[in-house]
Amino acid sequence: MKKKSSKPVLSLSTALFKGSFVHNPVLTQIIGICPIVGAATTAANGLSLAVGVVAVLVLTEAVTSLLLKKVPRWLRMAAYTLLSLSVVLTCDRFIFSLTPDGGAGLGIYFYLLCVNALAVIRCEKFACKTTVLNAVTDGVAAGIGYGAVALIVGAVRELITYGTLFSAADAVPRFPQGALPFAALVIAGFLAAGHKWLLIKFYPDDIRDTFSMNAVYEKPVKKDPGLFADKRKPKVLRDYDEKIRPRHSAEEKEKGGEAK
Amino acid sequence: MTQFISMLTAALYAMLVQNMIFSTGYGMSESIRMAKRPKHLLMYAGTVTFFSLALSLICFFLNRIPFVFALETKYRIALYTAVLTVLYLLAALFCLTVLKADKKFMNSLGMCALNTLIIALPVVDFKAGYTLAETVGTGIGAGFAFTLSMLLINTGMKHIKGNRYIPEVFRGTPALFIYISLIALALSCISGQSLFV
Amino acid sequence: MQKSKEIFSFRNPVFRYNADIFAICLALSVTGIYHGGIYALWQLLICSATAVLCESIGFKAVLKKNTAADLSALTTGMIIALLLPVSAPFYVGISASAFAILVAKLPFGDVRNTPFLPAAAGFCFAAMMFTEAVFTYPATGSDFAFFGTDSFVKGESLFDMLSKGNSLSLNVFGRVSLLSGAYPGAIGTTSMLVLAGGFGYMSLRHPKRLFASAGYLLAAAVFALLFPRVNSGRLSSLIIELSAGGLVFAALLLITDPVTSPRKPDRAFFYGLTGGAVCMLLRYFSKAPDSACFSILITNALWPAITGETILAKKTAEKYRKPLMKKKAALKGKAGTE
Repeated sequence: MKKKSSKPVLSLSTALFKGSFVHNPVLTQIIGICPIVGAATTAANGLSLAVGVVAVLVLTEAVTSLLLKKVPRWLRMAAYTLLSLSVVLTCDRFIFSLTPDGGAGLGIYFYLLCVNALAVIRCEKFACKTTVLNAVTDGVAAGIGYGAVALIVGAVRELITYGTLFSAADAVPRFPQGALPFAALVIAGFLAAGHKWLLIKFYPDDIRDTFSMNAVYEKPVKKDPGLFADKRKPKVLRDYDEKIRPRHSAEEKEKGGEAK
Repeated sequence: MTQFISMLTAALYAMLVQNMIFSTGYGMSESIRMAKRPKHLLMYAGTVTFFSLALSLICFFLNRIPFVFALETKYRIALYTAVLTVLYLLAALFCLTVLKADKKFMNSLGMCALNTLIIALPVVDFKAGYTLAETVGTGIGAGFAFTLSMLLINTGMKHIKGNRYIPEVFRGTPALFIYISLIALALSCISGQSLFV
Repeated sequence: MQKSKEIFSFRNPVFRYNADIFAICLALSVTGIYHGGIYALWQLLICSATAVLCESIGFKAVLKKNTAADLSALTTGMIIALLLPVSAPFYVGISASAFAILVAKLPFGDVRNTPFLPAAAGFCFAAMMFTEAVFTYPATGSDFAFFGTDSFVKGESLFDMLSKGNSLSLNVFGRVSLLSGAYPGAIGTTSMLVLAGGFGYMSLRHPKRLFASAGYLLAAAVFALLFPRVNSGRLSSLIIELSAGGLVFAALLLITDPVTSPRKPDRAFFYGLTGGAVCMLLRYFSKAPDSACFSILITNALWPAITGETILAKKTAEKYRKPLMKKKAALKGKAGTE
């Protein structure tokens, strides 16, 4: 049986760009949105989350790639949690110093990064199957992508809620409801739509449907249906599309022509 | 009887009034990923309810220890995470050795156990100063809230899948985000409000 | 691609339905303008214009088609305006209408495929973002500055009375004011007489839609009778609870939406029953003064989850329905010849 090559087929910069932008973990795969919805209420909080996520991902993926490849999966899950927890506990003071309010706005969301699905999924999908360099690159790329979304969502929410940018600590909220989860989800939805528009325009071959995963460092899998891909459509609907719908539309056109 | 009523009240509160998935975002990405597989809904719901209840109870008794009670928030969360990890490992060993669980179940056990909703629950219980009955209620309620969110999100996924008229730029993730945001908007009129108060 | 002429035509079922809704909204607007003055007219114009503009620009940009001619955006704007108080600032109406079209409608494409009622979503957004402006009603006959929120005499709405356990005096004057809408409230939700006329019109044009209204009102009535919030008896509770807020308005125009509600009358009845129960539960246990629109959104989300009635299911059912009907017709024909 042929062994899958773990050598990167992309350059480092392309891998970073594709991992962070094209295969953005939040906008294409909906991973780890809990802190974005709950904590990214200001731009500073978004930046703190970004730094935290990069740190967690890089360390967790590096250690996974180095030491945890042979460990059974159910045991690895616990290891990811403990690794992420250690990163979060050691980096919190530095990261909170980035926020004007000393991390008060982040609440417990920052510490909940230890059980964030992002680290688990990235480690399971890539880090335990590839080299350390690839794993670290993937961690950096995914962290940058995640952080960018957190930053943008936080900045927009801060503008709506306080009318400021990076200086919400002393500001009086104009619309406190901008900090509610639905606002974050609406902003993320339109951000995802803009992201998809850019992908359609510039990277149409790299579009994957929701939840489909590809290692950035391997050749893209052509047939990888996500939830919304046509291949998942039930046979009933596929038959309808292929056989009945063209007949119905032709009949309707004839009726329309006759009416005229 | 009063204990039962307070347990029921806390469960309803956790499930509907302060649905933690839609009002605070805890466990949202896990519930979205699990909603993709509605066939295993009951299994996911049962597992999440078990872990939320078990962790809430263990942490309730741990909080009675003066040393633990006086801990800072970050060390408290670290402790709860460690407890959850141990609980998960014990559950995994039990499922592997006694129940002879298959690989698929073991793969999903980790996702069900190690998620933000389960960890956040005992922190919320501690901050609210809940009694034992209320802690049990929130544990069960959180599990039901997770189930409800999976159901609602799965419905949204089916709707988006069947809707051929969604614009290309909104197809998939963007439409799902907007769908969930409208559910969160609908529930936001009651989130943060106390039931029976 | 449908041309504007085909969209703006009574052969288009969407246009036909929306034309009827527009007629009802127009009648409600007349009473609203009578009580609220020129500012009610401004509110209606601003909300409708925003909705139509957002639909024209948004749909043209994203879907490359202009569907504003099917009147759905116009009726959405009018419904939002009728749910707002006459004193709400102009930006409340604009943001609500823009949210309804750009967030609740555009991402889901066609008006026939929206999972949530856009008008309800827009009002809920305004209610969350501008709570005070949306739920503060001026006293009838009071004068106030152009779209100012603070420079008017605040009236005591039926909700305020219910929260204190008071009720409106149901003598001749009280009943006349309930029927004519001469008490503080939203622009189009206060006049019971015109709303009753709207029900009459709906019963002639779209009678099957009223099964949902019946369920909605029945659930609300049962709650009002069993758990009265006023001290003057169950009948008063029934009358005041049904008259307060947008409950009857929602029963007429929101719960009957053919896109989000089931088509079959029996299912529509239970759908309305669910909506009414949710509305009353929110009234009793949440602090939102007017929970009708929130109940509509919750029911829109809950009903397909409980019953499995999504667009996918409807299409699958339709796929089997036509051949099944043909088979039945063929069997009947055979039985006839035998």
